[in-house]
Amino acid sequence: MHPFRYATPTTTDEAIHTLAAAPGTARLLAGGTTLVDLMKLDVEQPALLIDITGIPQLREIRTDGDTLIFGALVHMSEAADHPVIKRDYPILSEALWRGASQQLRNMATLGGNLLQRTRCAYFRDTQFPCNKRAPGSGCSAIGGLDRGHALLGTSSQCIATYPGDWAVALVAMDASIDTLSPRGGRTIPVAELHRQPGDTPQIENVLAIDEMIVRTRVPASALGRASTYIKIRDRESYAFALTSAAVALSMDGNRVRDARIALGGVATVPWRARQAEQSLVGKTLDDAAAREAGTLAFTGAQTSPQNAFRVPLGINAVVQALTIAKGRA
Amino acid sequence: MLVEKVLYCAQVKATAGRDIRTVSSDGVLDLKVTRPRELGGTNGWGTTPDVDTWARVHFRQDSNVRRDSVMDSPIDPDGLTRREFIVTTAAAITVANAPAGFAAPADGYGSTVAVDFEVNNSAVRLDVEPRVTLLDALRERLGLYGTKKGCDQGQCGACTVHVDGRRVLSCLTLAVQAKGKRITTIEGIAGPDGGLHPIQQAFLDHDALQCGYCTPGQIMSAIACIREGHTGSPGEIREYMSGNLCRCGAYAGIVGAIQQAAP
Repeated sequence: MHPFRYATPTTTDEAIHTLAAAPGTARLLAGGTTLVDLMKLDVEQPALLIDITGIPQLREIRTDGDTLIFGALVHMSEAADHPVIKRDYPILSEALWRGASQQLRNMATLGGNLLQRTRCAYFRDTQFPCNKRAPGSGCSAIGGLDRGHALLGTSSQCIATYPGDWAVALVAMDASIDTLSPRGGRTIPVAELHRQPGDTPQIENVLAIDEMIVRTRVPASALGRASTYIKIRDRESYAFALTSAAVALSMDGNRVRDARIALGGVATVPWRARQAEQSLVGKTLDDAAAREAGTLAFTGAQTSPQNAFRVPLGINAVVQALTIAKGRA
Repeated sequence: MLVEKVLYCAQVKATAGRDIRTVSSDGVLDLKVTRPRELGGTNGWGTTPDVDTWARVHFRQDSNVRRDSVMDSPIDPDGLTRREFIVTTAAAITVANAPAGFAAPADGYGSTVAVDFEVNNSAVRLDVEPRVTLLDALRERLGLYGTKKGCDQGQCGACTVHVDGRRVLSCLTLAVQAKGKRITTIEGIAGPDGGLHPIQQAFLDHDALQCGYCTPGQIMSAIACIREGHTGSPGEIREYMSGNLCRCGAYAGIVGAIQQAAP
């Protein structure tokens, strides 16, 4: 690991000004589960690490009127085991406890989790060309070992999968984040946080270089109870998704009043499937309707011989998630 | 892998001119070994704190020296343990093969931060570079070798320790982040009389290991799993122990041991 300087701000104000003073060469450190890993691989080589874990106000977890508030430093395990979240928002709790391992969930924070980097093996290995890591060098995944790569939201420059689960559930629940920079604060829908690769796969989100996430807001919703997060993996636990489905429903008897569907593990960003949602509204939720929604969710998927199996797998995951969510309505 | 570790050891333990004396030009060195004093001798280093020992090391001046051939080379061990010998020898090889001026730190290298924390109920102060992981600090600086380095990438769980009572991976935790924290390692779980922790006994009762390399991590994880209340069923135990891999496949015994030790 390359050497770096280390700062420990105690306020958000101090953190963003330290960040702004080292444009492009500093990184915020929270749980470290992505950053320290990538630093060992030389993929990340910051000159300055700004350890924000000593900022107490980022640890809040509470409700504010009709909104759930998760501070950026709340640990994944803490939110996953929160009794209210488990009861009223299984989609959120399941997305968290089905991610990583309990040790990692005790370290990783909800703010950092949103910005988790791709697990693309070519991105992680500096011996390979990678447009995300070294812009213009080429994409080794296209035409390479792409079994786990993205099917949706790809470009000719990059097919790296967004690996997280939490953001997928948040996108389904219309969550947003509050950020802070020396220019003040702003609120960004989680659905607009991540950027598809396009011609600039190295730019993964809309945050400015001196901007930090301070909290996530999830609007309270009756859809929370009739919800689930299904994750299909190569092994039963502690693996990244081959495909995942975040689903929440509002039901009027057997008829769908409102539906939310988001996909994980198959796209370059957390993938909201609005066309699939619309197909369900007003309909009786039976197996055929669920399957049609699943199929619509994968509209436009670009596959290769190695990863085409994840389309039917993903459709089945949507069907299963809709069935589970309906059972909770 | 060895080389990276070697560089680190050499920087810590040996500075050319001060800690190393060349005995002859054909590859014989005397190397000063300082035993860590931070824990005052409550660990595998014995009860002798802060002792400098000169070790005579013979090696072949060969940039491709293999660990095996080093082990076979003659040595005057001067009372060194096998582990000290390996570290010492590795440092000597590095120094011998390094260009002149190796010991002078490059810009930004070597600047350290003082970190006060608690390890197994003992207060500890370490001066560490910010890039040193908690795992390396525990093993290389404090001599607590019970915590294992498996993948060093957060994928196997062998390095699991408790920080303020919660299980974390020490390979992805920077030592500087342990400041003010309470660390518990496998060396710190036995009873005051030295008796086995109930989960250690349960692992024995259920034959929950074969080679044993993952076992310290499994046990630290199991203690936390029970404390968290995630032992309601074999399925729940498997889910919440999934971050600890066992290549020998002792999983059935591990689940059985946790069921036995859980209330």
